[in-house]
Amino acid sequence: MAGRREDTVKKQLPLAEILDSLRYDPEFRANFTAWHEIPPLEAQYAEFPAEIDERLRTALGGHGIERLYTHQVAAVEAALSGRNVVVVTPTASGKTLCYNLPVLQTILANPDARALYFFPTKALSQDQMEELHDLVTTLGADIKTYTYDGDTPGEVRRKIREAGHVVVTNPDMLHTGILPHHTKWVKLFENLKYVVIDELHQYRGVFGSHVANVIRRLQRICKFYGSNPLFICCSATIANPRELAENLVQRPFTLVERNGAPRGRKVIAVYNPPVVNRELGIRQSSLNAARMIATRLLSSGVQTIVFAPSRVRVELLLRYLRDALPRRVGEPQKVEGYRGGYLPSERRAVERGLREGRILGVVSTNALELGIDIGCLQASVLTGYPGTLASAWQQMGRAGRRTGLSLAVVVASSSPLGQYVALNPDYLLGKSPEEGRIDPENLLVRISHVKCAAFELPFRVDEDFGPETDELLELLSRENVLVRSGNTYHWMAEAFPAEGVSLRSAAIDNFVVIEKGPKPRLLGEVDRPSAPLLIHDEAIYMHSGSQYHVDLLDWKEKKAYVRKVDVDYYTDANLAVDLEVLDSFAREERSGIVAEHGEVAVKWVATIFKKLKLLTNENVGWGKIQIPEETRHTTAYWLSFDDRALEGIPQARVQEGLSGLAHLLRHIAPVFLLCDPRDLQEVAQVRSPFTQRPTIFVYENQPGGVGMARRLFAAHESLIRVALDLVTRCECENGCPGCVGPGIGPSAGNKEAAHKLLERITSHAPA
Amino acid sequence: MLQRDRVLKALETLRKAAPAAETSLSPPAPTVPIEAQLNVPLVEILGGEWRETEQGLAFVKDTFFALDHLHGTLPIGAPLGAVGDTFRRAVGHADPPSVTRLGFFDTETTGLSGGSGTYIFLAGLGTFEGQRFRLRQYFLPRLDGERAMLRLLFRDIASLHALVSYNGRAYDLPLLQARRTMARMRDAESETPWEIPHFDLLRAARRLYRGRLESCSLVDVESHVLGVRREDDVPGHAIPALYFDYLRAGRASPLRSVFRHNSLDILSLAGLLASLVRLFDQAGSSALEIEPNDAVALARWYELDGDHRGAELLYRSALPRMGPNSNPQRWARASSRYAHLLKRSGARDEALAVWRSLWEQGDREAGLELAKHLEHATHDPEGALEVARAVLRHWPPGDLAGLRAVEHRIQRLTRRVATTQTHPRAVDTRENCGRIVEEGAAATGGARPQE
Repeated sequence: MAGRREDTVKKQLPLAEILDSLRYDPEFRANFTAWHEIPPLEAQYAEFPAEIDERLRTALGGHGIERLYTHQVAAVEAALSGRNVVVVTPTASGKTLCYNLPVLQTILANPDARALYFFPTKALSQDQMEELHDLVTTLGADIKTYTYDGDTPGEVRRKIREAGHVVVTNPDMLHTGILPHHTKWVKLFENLKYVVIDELHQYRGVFGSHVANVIRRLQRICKFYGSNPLFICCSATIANPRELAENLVQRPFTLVERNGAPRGRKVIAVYNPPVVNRELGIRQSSLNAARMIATRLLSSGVQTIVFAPSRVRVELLLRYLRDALPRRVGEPQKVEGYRGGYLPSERRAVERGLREGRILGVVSTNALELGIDIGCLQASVLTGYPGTLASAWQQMGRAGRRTGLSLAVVVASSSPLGQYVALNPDYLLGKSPEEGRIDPENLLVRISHVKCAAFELPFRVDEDFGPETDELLELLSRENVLVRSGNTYHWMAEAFPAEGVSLRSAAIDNFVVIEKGPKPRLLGEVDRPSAPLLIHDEAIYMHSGSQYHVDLLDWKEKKAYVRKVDVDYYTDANLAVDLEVLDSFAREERSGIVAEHGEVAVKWVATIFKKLKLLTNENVGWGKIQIPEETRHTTAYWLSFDDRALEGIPQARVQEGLSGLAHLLRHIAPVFLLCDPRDLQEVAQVRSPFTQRPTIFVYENQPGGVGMARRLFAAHESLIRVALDLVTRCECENGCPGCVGPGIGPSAGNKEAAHKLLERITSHAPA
Repeated sequence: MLQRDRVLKALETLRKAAPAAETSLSPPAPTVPIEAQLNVPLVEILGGEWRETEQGLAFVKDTFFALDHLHGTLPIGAPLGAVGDTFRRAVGHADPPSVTRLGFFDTETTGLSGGSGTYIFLAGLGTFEGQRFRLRQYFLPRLDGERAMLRLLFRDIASLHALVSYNGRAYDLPLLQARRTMARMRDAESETPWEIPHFDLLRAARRLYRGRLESCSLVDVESHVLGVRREDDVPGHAIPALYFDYLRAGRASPLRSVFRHNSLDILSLAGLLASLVRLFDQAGSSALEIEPNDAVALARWYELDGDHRGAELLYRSALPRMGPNSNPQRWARASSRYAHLLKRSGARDEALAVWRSLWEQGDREAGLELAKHLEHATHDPEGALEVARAVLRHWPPGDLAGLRAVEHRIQRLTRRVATTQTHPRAVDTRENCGRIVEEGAAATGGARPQE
């Protein structure tokens, strides 16, 4: 049955019995909206590809690998026959061999050959590095593998540039450290045979759009040095792995998705915490529900990972779980935490403890969702739906072994997205995960990279760096960033362009929060859009559970100076948002309801803030906020309604109905996009200056947008259907956080109005 | 909306979003069509001439200087006298080529950040040619003309046997290497700059003037050594903008000041080399003529080169002239090094005299040395203990490692005094004791005079 590592746990009941007792427990059973069993899968093996060097086979044998799974063979063969390949790899399916084999094989055959690996984060690259290193050591060949990132000491760097066969890095380092200095990497670029991109699904949205351009730059440099590397990508399960790889790399890819790794029986359960206040539609918090379930599992000795959506919640859950699990004096902790902000050594200790079974439970942020090796646990509890299916599957995949039973429980939160998943567990279990969307052509992103690319190599006038490259070049030279000389455009500035471009966001700047005192301390960072709301003068800024009073926001210097306080109120700022349509790209009208997408200018200004008493939310004061208005150009999807569509909805209700609907659409949108609800914003206008009609907008947070609005427009009908379904099935009376937003006070009627609007839209749509 | 308008709007948004990061998007200057750039009469404005190469046209300007042309206080021909041992020492090379085979090299670039988007737009190479000094300047008239420029430069360097620069090892040569890679030049001729010896005068300047001049920048050093006063010189940080302005608007006349700046740099390289060799010459023949601070710095250089005898002589000639008053710290450091050299060459009594006088000035390290000497050489543990205790009283309380070392010594001396009284013949054989103290002393930094 379930493996050997549980030997340390005394007298554990079979997992199946524990699951039964959980499933039929009167306290829980009514709240499971799904209890789905995935049958076990037998391993499917295939022959070693004939090309593989005997030495490599022997080395693999030394690591206990005598045979390969079918998907590994398919990937290796595709790569060795010169095709770009993307492999879909669930957790624990042996993905690293899919790229390590062709790479090592190629280097064995040609010691000059080079490979570049990149991972989205530093921690991951360290982990994968060790594995590769072990294999190379067993192999006994002179193959040098190095990590090259911000932590690499200066004296080692030269050696890596000269001699590294496999250089492991991350996209940020490639962007600022390697490409702009490519002349120091001649050896690598002249001989580059493979580029490995692991965790492909991470490269989505703005980040992915940036990375796609970094890869464009990489390919330009390779071409300059006469190399033409193949790309091997690994991705978690997403709807469009091949499309994402092709968008990211701009080349055709072979897809390998039939997984040959074995899998034990697995139960996936969805738990919707019970409603505790029917009027307001308030449910038990997902945190409490997750705590109860995890406590049950852990006290039965089931090795469990609990995912929490924020660092603070990790700490809270950790404390609750430790309190709930009695421990003898001197006995080590059974449950540990894991999140950003822990020291690397602490993290390694937890990883090891989990692998070796010494640690029974771990509470983690999505930091452990990525491919870090912690072995496979018996159960995974997700506090809230993590926002995307790809994340959900990775987190659920943390439980599950090659043999034996495992359990994953998704505890739904009360957000519309959470409720959607709770009410439609098939969404989670069915076979349609999100798509990874990127928009490499996003103008703001691309202009940044055209500059970086021009710094790296002059542009030929006819060079292709996305559509209308020539026009961009001409514009940049009019801006005096580039200068044309004959048939080439050259960089013409002292600045180093890559330094001004952060891959992680299209908006360049963050505000820093500084705690005042004899030794001022950097407390944290706040992104620019949030700054007017969170760190205006006199705001109460919350960090790690403590309160800080903002004494001064220096808008110009992007610094907020705070001091620690202990007060009984928090602050809530009002934001006045104005949205202006600049351009409509596409329009679809059906009986008075118009859906469009296009470019908008969003202006926002923080106006006043309220001081609200903790717990009671009683208003105990207010103040004005003096911060200049901000403008951003981005893309939006919007719906407008004519009088027919509004018939029967009282005039006074229209505003609430629109707001409720906007709230709902924005929160439900991630069902169709591989994105976080925070990547989107909504606005409702009773009379939009552009459409001259009641209109709701869902717009992208990132300047310029990354193509999500276009995608929402394309998915318009499904989006409305899903929204209507959710409102219809939601048990609340007047709206709740799980559908159109809380139905209290002046917005008490928004659910009915929003519902009517949705019905109008769907009844007009063609069947 | 037109793509162009959208791009413009996007650019505007970018500029609004991050004004600081986008300084390069400064108000647009009038742009001159590319054809106009070609029509700028460079020969008239800058002097110089176009040269045909297999990689296209290059622009070079030759300027000749008579050997008696004065640059600061020295004639430009001064380095020609450099031969033999003092020349070897000055450039730190066992077998330097004849001065007539040296190239004095310096570049002007489009920025300091490095990376493949930083161009060398002006390179200067000075050589002795018969009875004159030739300064050849290679100018990049258009950014796509790099190959032609580099071809001429590499060809000229290929006939040389060594390069002389100021910080060229860390800056100009790596940048030149990057440009060569960008130009995909892989022939043997273009390898020369990295194959011939390179004499970086910044290294010499640092050895001689670190801590004495405001900085070891070429401008500060040439002014001190050669008395060169640059009038109306364009400051280094303003240079890239002048070049960009030329590229953009065809304004070439302001570049004259850049050519002049570069030529002054190169003349100074020759002058610095000459004065450096002269310094070594003087050290051998008439050390008393060397300014005492220079002599002390040079003595240190001799030490680093392993010439302890030469260093000792230089210290001996310089220290009395220097005296403790003008710069007590430097004087104390130099005296202490002198004493170490004396001790090393067996002149123990002389060393002791130096340490004693330093100790009287309140120098703690000297006190320790004195204590060591008393203990090991004079076999006077009581005297050593007395000094060590006095040293301890003056030790800065913050320096724990140093304090521990001194206390350790005192304990040992105390024990030893006690033993000597009972067993007069006992001898301390623990040879590493002195070393421990020296390590402690090294950690404490400079000495401080007693108050």
